[in-house]
Amino acid sequence: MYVYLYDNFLRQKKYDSTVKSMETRLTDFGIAGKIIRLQNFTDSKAIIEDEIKKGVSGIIIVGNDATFGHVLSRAATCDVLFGFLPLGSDNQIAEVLGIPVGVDACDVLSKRRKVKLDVGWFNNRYFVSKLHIPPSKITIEYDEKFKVSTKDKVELVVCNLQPFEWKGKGSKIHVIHPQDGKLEAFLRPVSGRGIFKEKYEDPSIFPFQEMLVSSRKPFVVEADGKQSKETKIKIKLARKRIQMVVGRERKF
Amino acid sequence: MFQKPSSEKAYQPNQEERQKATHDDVETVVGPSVKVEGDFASEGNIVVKGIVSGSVKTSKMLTVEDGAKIFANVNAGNAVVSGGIKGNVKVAERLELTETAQVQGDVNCSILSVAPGALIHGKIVMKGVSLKDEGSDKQDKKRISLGRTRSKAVGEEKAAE
Repeated sequence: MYVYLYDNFLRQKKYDSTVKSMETRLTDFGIAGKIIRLQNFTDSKAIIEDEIKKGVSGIIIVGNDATFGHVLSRAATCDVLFGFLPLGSDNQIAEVLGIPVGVDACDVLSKRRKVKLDVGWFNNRYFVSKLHIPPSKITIEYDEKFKVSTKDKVELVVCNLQPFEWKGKGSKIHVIHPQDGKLEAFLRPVSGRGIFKEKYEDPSIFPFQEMLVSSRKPFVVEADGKQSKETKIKIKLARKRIQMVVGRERKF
Repeated sequence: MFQKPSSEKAYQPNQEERQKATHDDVETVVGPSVKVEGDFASEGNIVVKGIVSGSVKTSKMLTVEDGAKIFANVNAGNAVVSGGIKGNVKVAERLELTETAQVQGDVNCSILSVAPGALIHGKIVMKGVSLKDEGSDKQDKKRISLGRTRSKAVGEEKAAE
């Protein structure tokens, strides 16, 4: 039996019809199950562990990228099959996993194409979508082989599943899709300050397996929407940590 | 038929996104004003726009853009150089030096393309050279002809006996 974790935003009226048709489709496939609605302060790990004890065969996350990151960053250690039904806006991870947004995602779920996914790890915490360090004076060492330094402050984004977007010259938007098996680090040095916000240079991209970020002053680290302040972090790739149902058109 | 049209459509990559996907070919990019120190190795393509010192190694394409500087020995599958390299360059297949390229060091490759204006200070070694000096060819011919006359003389002596 599957357990469905619904994000809180799905209570909005505009999602009613899609959620209903999704539930009908799941019943048709014979995979409908218990529904749990996530609140802002719900500990998803405790819920999942409790359901595993009851003998659940799969946990299905229903929502967007934020829901996906929120649940899996805490529940990555749970040994259970995960699924994802993307709904609403901000669904870039679904694209990487080859899952269509909306009702068609039920078809992918019913096919049970299982793949073990890699997860990012830093300072005893997991992150699934991406890790972000706002512009700060940091030094970075990759795989204990080479060091990267910049003159000024630098913004760092480490992508695991969520693609990285940035606006280039002439407001052209570049998208880089991360690959499985490696983490991608995007460094954007600050080149100056505009009237409203800082100006950035073109980013540097480094695929890596282990990275050490350090600074004299504490810097902000945001992983899957959760913020903390650190002076030294070690980012690693935890291989084949999450078992996930994916689509045929996945990008890895 | 009477169902409401769903707002979420199934994902279908359009032309624009397909073009973006080509950007994936670039694996490692060293941006301008970024300095890399140490053994810089990658399994994919490398684009250098900043400064690299130590060593650079890739089995695929290395692109050194105009204004970029590499103070290291370079080892690549293919390379297009528009910036400066101080160190030995070893390319397995094709090395292309554009008008703004500057290389200070020995170059080793199979195919070399040098645009007018490119600067090289070093030794160029390319595989597959099968030419020999003219002098040595003549000496070889002489040796062969001498051998023939000697064998003729020996044959005549035997016939006389």
